[in-house]
Amino acid sequence: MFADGVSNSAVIEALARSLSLSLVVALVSGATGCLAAWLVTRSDVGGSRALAGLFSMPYAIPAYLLGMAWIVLGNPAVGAIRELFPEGGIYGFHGMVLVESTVAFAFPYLELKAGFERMDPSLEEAARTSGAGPWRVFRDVSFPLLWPPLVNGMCLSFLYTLSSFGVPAMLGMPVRQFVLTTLIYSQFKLGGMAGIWSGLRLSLLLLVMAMLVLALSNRLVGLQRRRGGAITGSRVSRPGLVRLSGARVPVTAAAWAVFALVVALPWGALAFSALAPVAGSYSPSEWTLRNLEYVLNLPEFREALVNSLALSLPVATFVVGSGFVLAFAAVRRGSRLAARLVESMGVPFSTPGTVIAILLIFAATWVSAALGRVGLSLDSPLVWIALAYAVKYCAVSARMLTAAYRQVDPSLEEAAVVSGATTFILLRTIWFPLLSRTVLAAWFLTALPMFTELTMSVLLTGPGGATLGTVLFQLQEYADQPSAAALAWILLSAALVGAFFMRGRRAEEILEGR
Amino acid sequence: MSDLRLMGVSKRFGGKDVLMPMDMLVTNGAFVSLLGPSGCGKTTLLRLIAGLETPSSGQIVLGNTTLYGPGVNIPPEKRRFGMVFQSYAVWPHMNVFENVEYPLKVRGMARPERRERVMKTLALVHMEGLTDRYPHQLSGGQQQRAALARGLVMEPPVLLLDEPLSNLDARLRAEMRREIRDLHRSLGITILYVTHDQREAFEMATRIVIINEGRIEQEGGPGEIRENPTPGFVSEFLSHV
Repeated sequence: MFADGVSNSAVIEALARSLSLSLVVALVSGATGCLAAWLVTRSDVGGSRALAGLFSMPYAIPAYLLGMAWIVLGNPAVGAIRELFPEGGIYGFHGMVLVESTVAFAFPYLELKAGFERMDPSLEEAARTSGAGPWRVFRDVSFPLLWPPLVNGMCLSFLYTLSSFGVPAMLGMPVRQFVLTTLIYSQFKLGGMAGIWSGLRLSLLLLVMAMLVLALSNRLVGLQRRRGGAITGSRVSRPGLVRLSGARVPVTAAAWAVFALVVALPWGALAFSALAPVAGSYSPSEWTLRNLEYVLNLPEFREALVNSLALSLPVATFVVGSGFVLAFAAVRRGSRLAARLVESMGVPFSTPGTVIAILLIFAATWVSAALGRVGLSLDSPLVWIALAYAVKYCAVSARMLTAAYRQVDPSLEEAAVVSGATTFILLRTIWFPLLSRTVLAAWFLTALPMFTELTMSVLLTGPGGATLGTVLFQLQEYADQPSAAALAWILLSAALVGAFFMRGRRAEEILEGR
Repeated sequence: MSDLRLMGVSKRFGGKDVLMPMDMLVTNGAFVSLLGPSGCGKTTLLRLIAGLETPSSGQIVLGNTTLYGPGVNIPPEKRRFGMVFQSYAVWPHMNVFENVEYPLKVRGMARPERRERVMKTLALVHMEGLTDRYPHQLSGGQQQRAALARGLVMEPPVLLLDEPLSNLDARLRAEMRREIRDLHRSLGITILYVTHDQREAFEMATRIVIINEGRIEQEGGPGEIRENPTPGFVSEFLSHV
């Protein structure tokens, strides 16, 4: 009933796995994110300021890169720490939970951290001076007041996992454990219109699930806003930190160990694997740059690098540029159309990339048929990938810039208008310099995910349309682990540098207009 | 009895001396006001006493118990002070009764006894008719009364108040000044009251400690200070009414 080429039981199995995986990841992320947020905002854990930023880094790392790193670590044949995993190694449901959680935990963490930071610390201090210990304060005051951001963060983790493709493709597909996104991919790979139709129907199923969770999340954000007034502090004082006393050293060590597990260990694993002559050989004396050299000289890599740069740089520039003008029209000129457009950009942002890609493939076949009738053709998959990136990520800059325009005193613009500035001059000489920092941040937040995008690219790619993500995916599929690790290491290093500079800033926070 | 004694208490934060080492005595039953301009360190001092911040040096002793000193740092929940915050900090998810009941509940007092104590305390602040109201259904003044009742309900050895009236309008402030003074007289409790408002200090306190830039500039009874302000900061500060 869902698809031609796939049995109902396979669809139901994938749906059940998608939902249970997302639920387990949401629960694990909720618990760990909550603990991490409390530690960095309310306790005297060592290095809390550094930890606060570092914990938000996974948010900006493409999960599939971490997935590859975990394959290096937990591969049942040659994994460096394969003994720590059950039979079958990292592959399977537990592996997907582990790797997705290391990224998805950032959502509840960031939501709740923002919640703690906004909340008047006196509310908790009043409970402490009333005689309640730290756990009692959390149970009686913090949690009852902050559950909406926590649950909202868990909804975002759920949505993230439901939409994710890379990790289930790398850790689930090899052992034939399909989720909705990977089932769509495998159906689509069957080729022909049957595959596209089958993928389309499954996509609608995925979309419905995603929209249900999104509706719940939006309700929680609304509740948070209404409650906000009651618990927001005047920030007269820094919160009095809970002293961990004797537990401080072990808790601090554990917090840093978690960061190491989430970021440093995968990075190190990829580095080792990239330098190893063959998979599973980790002796430093045998280290070689051959893999890196091989990958860097691979024609596919060069093509993909050029494509990924040619896609992310101009598309991000176009998206941010149009967002700059659109946000100006919406905020400073009161254009309803522009405001509606900015608002509607949130829909593709929350739509799973797989769904966007399938819809675009559908559109592409239709367009090329129409063009064919007038003797034209549109062959390059890059056009459709560019469109997918633009549609998926346009919300980030438009919303960031809308918020930025609102924060600037209108009299700065009015003074320029009185001085004779036309709209174009106004944008160029007043607004752009005033908002340049936001524009730059928006540009990075738009270009970075495009540069390493996998989910949509892997479906839309074709001859001449390879991107870094798809080449990496192919190397992994062909089981060329050292080369895959070398490329993944380069990309993860780039993503980490980007994440380090952007740490703490993220799209959802901006999307909610906070 | 339970005098509160500070010996050489100081606080450094971010490489800056927020409080220079200072000694202070709050005798049992006194109403001591810490008075000074904003940012002078008076709120920090109150938070050190409450245990919400940790001093950089010195000792804090209540009666015979060391609250803070070499090797000792009793957490705020075990210090048994009552505290009223500038932002009221009445919990929005609990009604007036539950807010005031909380300190007794946390300490495991039996329900009937709790009820009696809460109602008695609410009567003191004229809130007995509003027990079922939630904070968003209360005016600022009523929220402040609820916070005051919550601070008083466990009959603390010292009640700590941090600028409790600064968010109220002038008329309400005058009314609350009178009420707090009357509560002090009728209950005989010890009060440590932080304010930047001279009027509050001189109208209510039995003893005033003037603080500036982390130092005690002068301390004494209200009359004493008014008649003999030390030259320099204190005379200057008191001349701005």
